[in-house]
Amino acid sequence: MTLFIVLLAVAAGTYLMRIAFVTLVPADRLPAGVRRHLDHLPPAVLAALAATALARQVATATTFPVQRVGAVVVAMVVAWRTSHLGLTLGAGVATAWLLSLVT
Amino acid sequence: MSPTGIVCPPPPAAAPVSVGGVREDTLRAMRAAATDMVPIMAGLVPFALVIAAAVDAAPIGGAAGWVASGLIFAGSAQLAAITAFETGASALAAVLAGVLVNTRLLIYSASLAEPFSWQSSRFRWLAPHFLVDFMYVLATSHDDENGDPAWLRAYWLMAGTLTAVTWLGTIAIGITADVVLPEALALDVIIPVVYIGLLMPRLTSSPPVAAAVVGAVIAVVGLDLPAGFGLVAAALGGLVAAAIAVRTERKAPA
Repeated sequence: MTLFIVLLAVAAGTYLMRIAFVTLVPADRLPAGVRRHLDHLPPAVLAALAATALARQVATATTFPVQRVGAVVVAMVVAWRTSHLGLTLGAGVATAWLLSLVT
Repeated sequence: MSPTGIVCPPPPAAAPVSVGGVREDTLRAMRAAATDMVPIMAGLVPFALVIAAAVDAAPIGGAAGWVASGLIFAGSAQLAAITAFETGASALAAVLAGVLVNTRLLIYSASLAEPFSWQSSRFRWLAPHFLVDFMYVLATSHDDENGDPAWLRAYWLMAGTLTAVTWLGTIAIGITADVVLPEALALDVIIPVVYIGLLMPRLTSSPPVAAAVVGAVIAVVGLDLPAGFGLVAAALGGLVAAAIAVRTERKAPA
């Protein structure tokens, strides 16, 4: 029961952060400089999320995860050359699968 | 042209066309969301099973744990709170552990403030519940269409509904049955690859490149920080790097 209440409180806190600037504080209250710079947030977040996922897989694996690292390297090349999400995904997953056959 | 490539619909024809009572551009937004969500849904499955296993092992009923999963709607925060609680932290410390993991949602919320400000008040109160990492990066990967409030509304609700169905459905299955995914499926490789696929097309000038490089380096260096803090540091560091790059670009001779 205590844990359920803990989780409800986490849900409430999380919801407040989700609506903080969308609903509670109107967008136009944010300084113009901050709003302009937030346009560069997606690349920072995308790179951080991908790097975190990969680094965590490397850190927790008992042997070097060749499939994961290979998939990300191939995905970077394909995404850079084609800018095509479907091709990138297909190439990345195929690389992971092929490498799992040989390792 | 959408930077993701596959989900770029052609510009709308003159007047909105209705198909079975639903506007055609609404249908296009829903289809784009569904296309984007296919790999994400597959990638969510292993994480949802981790949450189900944590709920199973925790001193909480399956139904209560499942309800909490829907209300928190953020796996890493739920996991952090459960782990803290089980390792003997006080209730308050466990709540803080969970909430702090989600600090990055504040930054996403600020970044989405403008497109959401064009939405109805009901949407602004309810729709942010779906705000998670990939919802943020997917919604901001359709810059052309995001100028259209109806497009964003349909896209967001479709992607959020698919997330909820996958997330809560898999957690329910994981709580009621013992599911072990075959190692060969390697579903955990999908989400980082999707992030790479969304990132690379954005790296067309020095500010986004600076943001991405600094963001990735800080995230890796901060891997051992309490969950979530590495990402917050990476996001803020990336923003600072982009700001410096913008200033350097302006100073450089044309």
